[in-house]
Amino acid sequence: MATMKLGFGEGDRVPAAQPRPLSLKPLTTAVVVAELRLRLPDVERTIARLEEAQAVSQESLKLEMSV
Amino acid sequence: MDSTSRDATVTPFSETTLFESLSNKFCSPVEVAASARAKYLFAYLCDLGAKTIVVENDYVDRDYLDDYAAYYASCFRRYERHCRRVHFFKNGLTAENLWQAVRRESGAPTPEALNRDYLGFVVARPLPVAIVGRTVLRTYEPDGGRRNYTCVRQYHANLFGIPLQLESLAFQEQDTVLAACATVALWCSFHKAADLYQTPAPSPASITRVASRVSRASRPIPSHGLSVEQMCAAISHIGLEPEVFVVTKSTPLASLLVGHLAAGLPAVLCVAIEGGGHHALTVAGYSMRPQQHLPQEVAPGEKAVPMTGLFVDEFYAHDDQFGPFSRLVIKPSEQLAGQTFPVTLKGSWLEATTAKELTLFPLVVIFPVYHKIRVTFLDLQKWLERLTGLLWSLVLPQSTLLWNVRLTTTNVLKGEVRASDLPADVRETLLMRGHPRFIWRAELTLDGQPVLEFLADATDMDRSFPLYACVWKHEGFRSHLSDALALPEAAHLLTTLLTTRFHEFLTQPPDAGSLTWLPLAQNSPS
Repeated sequence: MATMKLGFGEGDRVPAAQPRPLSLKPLTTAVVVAELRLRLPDVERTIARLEEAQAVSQESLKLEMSV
Repeated sequence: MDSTSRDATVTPFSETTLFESLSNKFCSPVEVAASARAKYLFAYLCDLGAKTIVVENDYVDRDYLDDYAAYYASCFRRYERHCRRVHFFKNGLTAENLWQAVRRESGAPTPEALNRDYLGFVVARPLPVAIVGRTVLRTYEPDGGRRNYTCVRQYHANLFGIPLQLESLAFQEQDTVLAACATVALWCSFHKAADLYQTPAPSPASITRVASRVSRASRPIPSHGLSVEQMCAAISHIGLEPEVFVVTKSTPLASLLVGHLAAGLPAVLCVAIEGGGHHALTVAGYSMRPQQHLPQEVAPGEKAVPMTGLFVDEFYAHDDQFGPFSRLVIKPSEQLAGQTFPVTLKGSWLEATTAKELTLFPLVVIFPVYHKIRVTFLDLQKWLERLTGLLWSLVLPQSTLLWNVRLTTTNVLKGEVRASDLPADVRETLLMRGHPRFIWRAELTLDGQPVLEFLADATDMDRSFPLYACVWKHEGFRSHLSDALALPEAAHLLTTLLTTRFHEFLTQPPDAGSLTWLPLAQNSPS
């Protein structure tokens, strides 16, 4: 699992004065193309789900909060 | 003057004195002691270190007075028009000290000292039930920055001429006559909205009355609850827009809430209670841990870009069945009646006989927003999904990508930019150029290092391309991404994934140091 500094999200954190090298893959056209083909359907599906979620149904509007 | 006078009483803080202070001729201290709200307040005030109670015996409360005029005045039973206001102090204020301060005698505690010790107040309503009226209490300490009470505002109280102030968000319990949970949740959120947008903060009676104009399945008063539609009507009535999100299994609930809470916007959260009905509360803060709390914030099998909501372990909500800033711990996805929820919540709700913690299932989130905030969190998330899809192809499998998405205003943004250590040319450009009044900020970190930050125009429209600036925070990252975007064999896939507009934006050479700026005048719907 990821870790992060406390206070993240509370104002603008500044970039490190000496950026560390990042864990990036060497750029290979064949690999990038293959991975993009693999990931594109997932991204499209997630976006479609988000669009569905933005449509507020009449059923949801009628939900009554009464406890 | 003694510790008790006709106008005021000063006593040491204890369970007995608290319940006595909240009682009235219709509700004895024993009955007060049975109230979940009174028990919650006692525990909360103990945690805050309360040592002294000062009771103003004759207090006129605007909200109660409105409710009194709308209902209680026309009852046969003679309800009182005036309330008590119960103040709390830490560090053992004595009656003598307080009277000295009132009389401005030498050696008396200064107003500054009294303010340091002041924990807030509870208006005790003279009713048979629902005795906890307007309540303004201090929050817990930040605990090293973990606890973020972002939806508080300044409140002033005048105690016999001594000006007292504190940061909080007003709370009250429902009376089930003029206000059920939904009305109270709106009332709390309107208190903060009034501070942000100078909108009115109507009384519970007024909120219920306005909400019930839309549709009514039963009589509005006595109130038994409000529908989501009625709650939206009450929000529109004060001049704000109800931004409604129906929680589905793919809704990143924690990030959605934090994205708005960070801007001080409280959320009205509608939940289904395990084995019970539907309930509304006002979310006013969150706790963010340095370690990731849940592996994902959407249901198993669903995907969402990794966002800071993963680090949030609990929210703080005004729950009118318990009290202010009550804890809602985020738990993993669960199902209820065949519906899958992205996460669930647990807090003060217990099963009556077994004391088992009950699960709360999030149904709907409503943010009362200023009308110019039009591009939603989910609109922005869709663009981040596109870029993140590409980034997973460029980073090593063990890499950690994380988006921090939050709403802000141009003034807050410029204040933070001014105080930041961004390169001087980038800082100057960001400060000198015009920004929309409301902005979505999305900062990306890779393995804990900030690599870029997008600024998106929240006042635009959902079908437009809202990103207008990108601050590149790591040259190695920018250059690697730029090389990937230029791969000719991947050109078609890249534009399909990102869209042509986003691809062009990312490949546009930075025009000021490490800043890519898309002039707003060139932004048009794609």
